[in-house]
Amino acid sequence: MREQDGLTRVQLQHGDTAWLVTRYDEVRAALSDPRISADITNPRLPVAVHGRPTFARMDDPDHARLRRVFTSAFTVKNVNLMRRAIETVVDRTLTAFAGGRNPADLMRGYALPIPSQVICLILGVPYEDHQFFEEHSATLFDQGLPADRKQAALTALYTYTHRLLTDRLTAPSPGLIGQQAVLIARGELDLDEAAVSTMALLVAGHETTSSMIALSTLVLLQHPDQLARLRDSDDPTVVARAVEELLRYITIAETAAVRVATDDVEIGGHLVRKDEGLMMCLPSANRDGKFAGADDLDLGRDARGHVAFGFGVHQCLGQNLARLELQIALPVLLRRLPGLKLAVPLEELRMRLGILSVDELPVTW
Amino acid sequence: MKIKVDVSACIAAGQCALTAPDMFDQRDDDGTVVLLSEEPAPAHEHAVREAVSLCPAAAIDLTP
Repeated sequence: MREQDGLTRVQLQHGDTAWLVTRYDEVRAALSDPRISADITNPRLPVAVHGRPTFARMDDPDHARLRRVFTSAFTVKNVNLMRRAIETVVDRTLTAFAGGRNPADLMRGYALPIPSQVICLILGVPYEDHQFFEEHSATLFDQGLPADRKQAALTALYTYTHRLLTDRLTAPSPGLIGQQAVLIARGELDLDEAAVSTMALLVAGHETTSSMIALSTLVLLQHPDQLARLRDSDDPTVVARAVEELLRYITIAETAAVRVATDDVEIGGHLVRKDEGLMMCLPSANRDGKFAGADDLDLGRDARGHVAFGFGVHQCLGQNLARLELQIALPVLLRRLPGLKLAVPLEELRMRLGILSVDELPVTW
Repeated sequence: MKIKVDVSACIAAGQCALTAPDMFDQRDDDGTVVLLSEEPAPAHEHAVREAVSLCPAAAIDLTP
């Protein structure tokens, strides 16, 4: 499809049509055009579940106003200040995992607890609540579940972050929750909006990175030569390059970037009319001819510029944190468990679509 | 080569600070771009061009 055209009209389940955007240049053009909207209150936006809008589902200026509350915490510099804390989390988690039962599920034992603990640190969410928020987050991303289950999970998570913020309005507290509580108390931030943002950060902060840790491990196990390159290098630039390539090659956000045109826009030689929906196919854009031999995993290539984190004003807020977590968590796992391999045949793994992941990743070492 | 940045367009993704740390930094309070020097030394020109192409918000402009 991508080879024939950058935009293709597709039929949606409920009868409408939308544009599927499959090429790199067209995806970047669409995602950076201010006439292409992410506003979830627009009924023409081709998505199924309509919860309370997070800033990722708003346009500017509201999007910018709410995103700005968090941007300082996720700068390159401030994320790098977390390195020690992340290394400690990774080391503790790996020690427990390696000393536990063998075979074991890498998802529950390693890939999930790391980003879960890290996002708790950043937000100031008590990690002892992790089962609660992990389960509800998993429900949100499980495409097999009906909309009412997802709505219930959203409500539970929203109620939870709302309560955390409310409890901390009067007492100073750590992390981004404490920081927001100060703004709320000063009348500079709306409590309900803050609860939605906090929920979005909590969910996105652990779901996506856990998927990437698990799927990167899985992909590397199937490419032993590439695995060895990452395992055997202690050069940070080699590791950083490898992580960019894994982000490009895997591209977990299959269906996240959904948009609607608010005016007639020409993209890639096609006239996209006002009110027409667009779905960005990020995995396809990342396998575009822009990347030579794009279907091959090559940890040595310069994969920067990939759109795994999206593009335009909505590009992933936590991208620098995700990079650092992957740069720390992947090499050390491969080094400490050199005999790591899948404990079940590949075909038995249950893949989850939408935000690509696996339910379980049974491994042995 | 001269660099101009548009702070109002910047979304604080940090791609420039990651790619060309000698030329770009991020403000402490909101992460938006800080231009460290308007005219890059020849050694930094390549990284600056990379930063321009990676910027998700087209907030960096180059003039010859």
